[in-house]
Parts: sequence; structure tokens; C-alpha cells
Amino acid sequence: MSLQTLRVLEAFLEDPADELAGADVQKLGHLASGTLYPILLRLESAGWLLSRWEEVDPASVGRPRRRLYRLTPTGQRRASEVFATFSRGVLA
Amino acid sequence: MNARDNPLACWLVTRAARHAPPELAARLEEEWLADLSTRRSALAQMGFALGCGWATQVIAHDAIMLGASARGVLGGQAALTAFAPTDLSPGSNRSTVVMVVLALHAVVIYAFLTGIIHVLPEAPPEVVPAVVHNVPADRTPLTLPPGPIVTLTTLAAPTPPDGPVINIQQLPSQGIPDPGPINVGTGGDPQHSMVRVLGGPGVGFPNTDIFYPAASRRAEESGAVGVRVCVDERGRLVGDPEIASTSGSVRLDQGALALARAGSGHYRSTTEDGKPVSSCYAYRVRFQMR
Repeated sequence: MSLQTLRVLEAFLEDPADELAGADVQKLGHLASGTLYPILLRLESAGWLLSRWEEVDPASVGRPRRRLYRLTPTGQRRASEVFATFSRGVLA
Repeated sequence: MNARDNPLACWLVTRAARHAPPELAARLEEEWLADLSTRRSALAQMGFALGCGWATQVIAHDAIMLGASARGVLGGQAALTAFAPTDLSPGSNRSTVVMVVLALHAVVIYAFLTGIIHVLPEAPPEVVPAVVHNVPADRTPLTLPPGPIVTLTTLAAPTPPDGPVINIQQLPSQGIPDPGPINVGTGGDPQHSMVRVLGGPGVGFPNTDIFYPAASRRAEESGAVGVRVCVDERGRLVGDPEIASTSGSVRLDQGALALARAGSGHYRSTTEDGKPVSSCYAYRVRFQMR
């Protein structure tokens, strides 16, 4: 698992119930767009993330609707395991 | 800054999305345009748009792998673990390695083109004897002058400390003082002077040790033999070598002649204005016990 993927997961784990658009994850993880979106699609295809379109009226909010991502229960469990693995042996 | 105010970035994002796999193209176009609109500056929008182009390449690559996954080559979970380390993003290790390799290729090509690196090694410098002007090439017996001997080159292999010493020395031409450059031709440029460089034993000349007669070694017999040879422009003997000056020992004289014959093809021919010519010259072989 690449460092960039860990950054994406870390952004979601800050608040696992929160839904984030790609732009939000990009800011939190400090990732380039060329790196971020392939990772989002991979995590989604693996069942770690779920995505949906934002339910807003673009005309009323004055912007296009965004694609929102959130961790699935599986993704939350697996991501937590990954970070737990990395934190083993680290002195507190 | 609205994304619509940056048509170039919008065009790049749209173009990138439309190069994505068909089932993702519409979704990515809308998603990326929405995320593009959150960028405040034109520079950030351009960076985002260019990154989308890179993302398309990676997503297309992943789609091929996911197709393999759907066909059972990779499981869904296996797809993640398989793809995750294969990060082709600009900041990944893999892309860094690719960029470094490309940069090294560019540097090497540039070095070749600019001559920093020479493709062919330079020819080893040839040991050129002192320039001798107007050396007669007649076949009259030489009488060795009592003056100093001009040593051109030592071709003998390194001699063992206890072994014999055989020196090959070039002999000057019959005691005639160097007249300097000579004029040749009668109707041409009277100022033209021909430079004649006398030949001698050259590269690949036989090891002289093996021509030291065994009987002479046992008798610790030493001496110098003047040998006269006629050599063509390719360094080959054109006649049998002759003794120009005897050492006083028949055995040593015969050893020198044998050496001279064995060296055919390894003589350095005489040159006139740099052009090899046939000529006759003498050199001295010194057999000496150490």
C-alpha cells in the first residue's frame, strides 16, 4: 500500500462518518489530482469506499454537484487495521 | 474564481475525462469540473487540470487490470493490494525512477553529440624516431661511425634480472652529417623540402631474448651486431638481412640475422612526407649478459 493511499485513508479516518469530495481529500492529504482520483477509484472498486452524487440543485447553490466519498464499514475496519499495523512497535 | 473563467483548464479536464474508460468518462468529467471550481487561482486550476490528464492514464491502466479481475485473474480485494503499490503518479517512486532513467539517457546522448565522450579510443601514440633527413638507401656495406649511437626504441621485452640484455639501436647513416631538409624535384616548388623519417623495428617485433644463442649465453659472450635490412612500405623484408658490422662472434651475428628475419612484417617502414616507402636501413642488436 502506497504512502499516498495511506494519506487518503487517513483523511477519511479523521471522521469516518463524514462524506468528502475529492477536492476535500486532496486538501487534507496534500495530494495532486493525478494521484488522488485513481486511488479513490481503486478503493471504491475494492469496496473500501462508497461514492454518491451530492443531492443539491446546481442552479440554486450556484455550483456543480460534487461526488462524495465515505468509508464503508469494511473500509473503516481494514483501514484501521492497516494503521494499527503501522503503529506497532512505535514508542508512545 | 469560477472554473468557467478558465476555459483552458475546463477544456483540459473535459478532454482528460473523455479519454477515461467509457463507463467512467461522464462521471469523471462532472466530478472533476465540480472539484475544479473549488480551486481559487488560475494556476491551481491549471495544475488540477493537468493532474486529471495523468489520472486518466492511471485509471485506464487500472481498468485493464480490473478487467482481468472481473475475468477472475484478480479478486476484488486482490485488485486493491495489487494496484496500490503500483502507483504511477508523478510523485511515486516508480515514476521517479522512469524520469531518472530518461534523464540519464538524455545526458548520455548529449555527451555523445557534443563530443564529451569519444566513441572510438584514440590510436596509441606511435614511437617515432628522430627525424633523419636524406638517408641514402643504397645497398653498399655500412661502416659504423665511432660516434654515439642514436637509440630509437627499445623493443625487447623486459629482461629477467639474471638474463641477457639485448638492445636494438638505430644506426645513423654512414657518418653523413645531417644536411637538414632537402629539396626534391627540379621543376616544382624549389622551397619544398621532403621530410624523410627512417624506419626501424616496430610494434610486434619479436622478443629478442629467444634469439640470444644458447652457446653464447653459456660462454657469456656479448657483442653488438649491425644488421642491414631492406623493408617495403608495409614493413616486410624484401631481401635477406645482411651483417653491416660484425660482433666478432659468428653465433651472435647469426642470432641477429635470425631475429631480423623473424621480424619481417613488424618493421616500421621509412616515410617520406608521411608516406611509407621502401627503403634500406641498418640497426644494431646488442647481446649482453647482465
